Amino acid sequence: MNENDLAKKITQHLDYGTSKLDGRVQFRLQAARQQALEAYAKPHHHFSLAWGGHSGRSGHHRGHSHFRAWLPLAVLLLGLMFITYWQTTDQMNDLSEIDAHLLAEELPFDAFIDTGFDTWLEGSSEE
Amino acid sequence: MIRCCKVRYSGTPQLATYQELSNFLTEVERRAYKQALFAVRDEHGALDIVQDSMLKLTEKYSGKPAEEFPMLFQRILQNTIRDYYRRQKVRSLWTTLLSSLTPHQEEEYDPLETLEVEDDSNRIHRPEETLARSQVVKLIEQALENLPARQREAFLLRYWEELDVSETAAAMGCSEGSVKTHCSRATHAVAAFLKSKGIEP
Repeated sequence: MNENDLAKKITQHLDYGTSKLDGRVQFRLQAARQQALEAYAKPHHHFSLAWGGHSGRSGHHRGHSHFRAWLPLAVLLLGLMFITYWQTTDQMNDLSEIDAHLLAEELPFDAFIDTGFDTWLEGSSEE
Repeated sequence: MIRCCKVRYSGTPQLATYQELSNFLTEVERRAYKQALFAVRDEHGALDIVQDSMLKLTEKYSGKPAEEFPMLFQRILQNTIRDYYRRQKVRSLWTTLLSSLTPHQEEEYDPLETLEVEDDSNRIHRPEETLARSQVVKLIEQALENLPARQREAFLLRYWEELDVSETAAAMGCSEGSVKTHCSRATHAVAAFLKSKGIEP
């Protein structure tokens, strides 16, 4: 008898063994299965935008609900990136404006009173 | 026995339905329990392992096509068994440490309890044939319990769960060559054990 046939015979006996499982064990297995299936049927509460009629109830909508869960985070990240970009550009614009005034010697009087400006002047002259 | 998942889930992969998941779990639960039992040799531990594995499959992979369930479930099951071993190792370490500090409590263990369970599982009032077959099953289960863990795992996945060699290798995290070697050794070891007990499989 070759290995496959031998293994087949052995597993046939094992199948017979599983068909004679204790009632208590069968009950526990059934309960475990029910519990797992309940987890499948349970609605999945994701942190998501509440659009559309369905709330990702079954496994079919799982991909869709993942997308909806990540969307607010993506929007938030994009928003943060835009704010950072805007602030940097704004600061650079301010600095170039001051530089332009400085070169044209049209610096307002307030700029000389500002101690921060003095510090900056000293720092830049040392370089 | 031909596993239903091998026959039913053919064609283009589609996401599993509730019914398919339910059918799969019903079909696999008993074998999964036995697999866990061979590995951990504790009924409650084996049942917990099956329950955890079922929950993990449902919670994490129920959106997958039903044809992927057998492989995914076996991977989860084997990992859960390994986790159980790890937890047992840590627990036994603490138990040893604590028992060395506390007075002996061995009187609480009653060996008769074990015997009672065994007596109950032996259905004495059955026809001779059924009894003989039950004894063969018991011996096979004993042989499987005595196998090295990897050999048993390979044998059960390959021949009982009917995964092919590559699927078995993926589930076990080893090469296909190792699977073939483990399977061959396991089959011959079980056959030799049965022969030594006067049984031709």
